[in-house]
Amino acid sequence: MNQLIYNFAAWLDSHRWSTLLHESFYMYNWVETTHVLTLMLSLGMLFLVDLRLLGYAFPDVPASAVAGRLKLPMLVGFTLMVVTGLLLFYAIPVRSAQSVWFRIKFLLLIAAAINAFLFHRRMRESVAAWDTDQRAPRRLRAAAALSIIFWVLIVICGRLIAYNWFDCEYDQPAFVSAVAGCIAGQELY
Amino acid sequence: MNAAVPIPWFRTIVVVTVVALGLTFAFSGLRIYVWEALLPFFEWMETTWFGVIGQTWGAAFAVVEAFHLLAMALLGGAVLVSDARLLGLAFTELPARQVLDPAHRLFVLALVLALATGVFMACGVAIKIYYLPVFWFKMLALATGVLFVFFIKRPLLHDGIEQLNPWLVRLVAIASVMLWFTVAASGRWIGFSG
Amino acid sequence: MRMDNNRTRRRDMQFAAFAASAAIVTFFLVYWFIQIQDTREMLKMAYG
Repeated sequence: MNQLIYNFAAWLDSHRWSTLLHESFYMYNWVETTHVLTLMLSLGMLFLVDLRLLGYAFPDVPASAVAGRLKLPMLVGFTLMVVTGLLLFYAIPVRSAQSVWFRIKFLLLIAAAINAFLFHRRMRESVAAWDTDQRAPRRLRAAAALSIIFWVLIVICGRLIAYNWFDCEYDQPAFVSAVAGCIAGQELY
Repeated sequence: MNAAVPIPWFRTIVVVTVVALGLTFAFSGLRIYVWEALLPFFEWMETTWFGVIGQTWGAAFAVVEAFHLLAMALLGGAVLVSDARLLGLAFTELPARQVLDPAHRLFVLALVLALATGVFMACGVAIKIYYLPVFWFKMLALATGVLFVFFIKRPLLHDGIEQLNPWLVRLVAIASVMLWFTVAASGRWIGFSG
Repeated sequence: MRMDNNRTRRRDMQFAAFAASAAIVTFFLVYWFIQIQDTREMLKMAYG
C-alpha cells in the first residue's frame, strides 16, 4: 500500500508541470492563497448552517432557508478547495503523501464527508417538523457539532502539513515512520 | 449615543477628518517617524510570554494560526451573508435585520477570536512583521474595517434598510466585502514574505 | 425641532456612509490595480 502510494506520488513528481508549479513563486502562492481564502466561502457557510442548527445563529430564520440559500456558495467554495488542494498536492506529491498530517487530514475529510451525507439525509427527512424551532433535534445537533469538530481538526492538520517534524528524510521513531509510510532507502525529495 | 451627539453633521465631519488625516499620514514623513518610534514596542513583544512561546514552540504557533484561519472563515461567512443580503443576492424574502443582527453577532465573535490569536502570532514574529510593508497595510485595512463596521455600517443599518437609497446600501456592502477580503489576502501574504 | 434634528441626523449618517464607502472602494480599486500591474510587470521582466 505505502509502496503504491509512493510510486504514484513519485510518478506525479516526475511531471514537468509539478515542478513548475512548485517552483513558481507567484503561481504556487496564488493557488495556496486561493485555497486558504476559500475557507471563508466553504467553511464560513458550513459554520453558519451548523451554528443555526445548534441554535447559535439566525434563530428567526427557518433552518431550511439558511441551509438552502448557503448551499450554493458552500459547494462553490468546496469545489475550489478541492481543485486548489489537488493542485497543491500535485506540486509537492511525495512529501505530502508521506506526511503524517496529510494522512490524518485525508481520513478526517472522509469522516466529514460521511457525516455530511448522513446529516443531509436526516435533515431532508425531518426538517419540516422543526424548521422554525430555534434548535434542531438532538441527533442533528450532534451531527452539526461533529461537523464543526471535524473541520476544526482538518484546518489544524492542514496547517501542520507545512511543518517538517515527521518528514521521512529525518530519522523517525518506527511508529511515526509507519504512519507516514516511509520506505526504507527511498529517494529523498 | 446618537441622541447625545449635539454637533450637526457629526459623522460626516469625522469621516472626512479621518480620511484627510490618513492621507496626510500616508504621504508625509510622519509615517516613517511613527514607524521608527514603534520598534522598541515590537522588540518588547518578542520578549513577552506570547512571543517566547510562539518562537520556541512551533506546534503552538501552528495550532493558534489554525484557529486564526477558522476565525477568518467564520468572519468571512458572516460578512458574505450580510453583504449578500444588502446586495439583494440572498434572503431578500426576510426582513434585513433578521439576517444582519445575528450575522453581526457572529462577526463580533469571529473578530475577537481573530484578534486574540492574531496578537499571539504577532508576538512570535514581531521583528519579522515589523519590517514587512504588507503587515502594516493589513493593520491599516483592519483598523479601517473595524471603524467602518462600528461607526458607519451598523448605525446606518440600525433602522432597517427599507428607507435608504438602495445604491448607498450596495456601495456599503461592496466596500465591506473589499475591506475584509483585503485584510484576509494581505494576511495570507505575510506568510509568504520575509 | 425634534423632527428636524432627526432628519439632519439621518442625512448625516447617510452622507458619512457614502463618503466612507466611496473612499474605501476607490482606494482598494486603485490599490489592487497597482498590485496586479506590478506583478505583471515583474513577471514580464522575468520571462519576457
